[in-house]
Amino acid sequence: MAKSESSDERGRTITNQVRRLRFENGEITQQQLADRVGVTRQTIIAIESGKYAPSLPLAFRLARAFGVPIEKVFQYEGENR
Amino acid sequence: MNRLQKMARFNLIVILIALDLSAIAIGVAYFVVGMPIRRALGGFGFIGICGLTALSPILYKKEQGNVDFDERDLLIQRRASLGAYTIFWALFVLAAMIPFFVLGPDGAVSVKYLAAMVFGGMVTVGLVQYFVTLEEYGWRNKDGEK
Repeated sequence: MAKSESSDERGRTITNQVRRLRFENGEITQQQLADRVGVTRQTIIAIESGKYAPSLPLAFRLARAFGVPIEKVFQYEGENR
Repeated sequence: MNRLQKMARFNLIVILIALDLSAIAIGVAYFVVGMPIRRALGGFGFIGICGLTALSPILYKKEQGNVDFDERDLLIQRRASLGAYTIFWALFVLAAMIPFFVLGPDGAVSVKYLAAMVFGGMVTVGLVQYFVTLEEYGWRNKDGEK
């Protein structure tokens, strides 16, 4: 399944596994996940499609909703400087 | 489409209708009826239609229970406000400085010019803010459940 990507201001890529984890956790809907973490369904759609990189608190809430560490949900790719 | 998008769309349509009607009224009064330009500019009265934007929070009420505003909406609102006030300041500086260069430092402008700056500023802020809001959300909001 394709990873969702968004870029930060340095051009580094932030990928996420939200969609995959949603399917692996009982195929919960975007609305159900949105209700669990306290955002709108549109925000979940934007995160999954890589159009929006969530705040750190929201990233933690998403990880907790799936019961996995945050690095299993979000990956920060690019050279370290 | 969420509540903010619906409100932005409604308000943008209202402002565009007000601007169109004003332009049509001024054009008809000046070119068709043959009024002097100072009277034809009374067509700007149609800008008052923009007052209908106050209805948008009533038309699109908050839904009970569901989250309808989150951090992304806040970010979009901030970007829209920033865009609106950036454009507003650019136009405000132009509106204030052009008479200075055209009429000279001792020139005078009608107080009507000040009122036009205020209403022009309000319309500009609204227009840009709602446009940026819709642009940030995406005009073609597929919003599909996957």
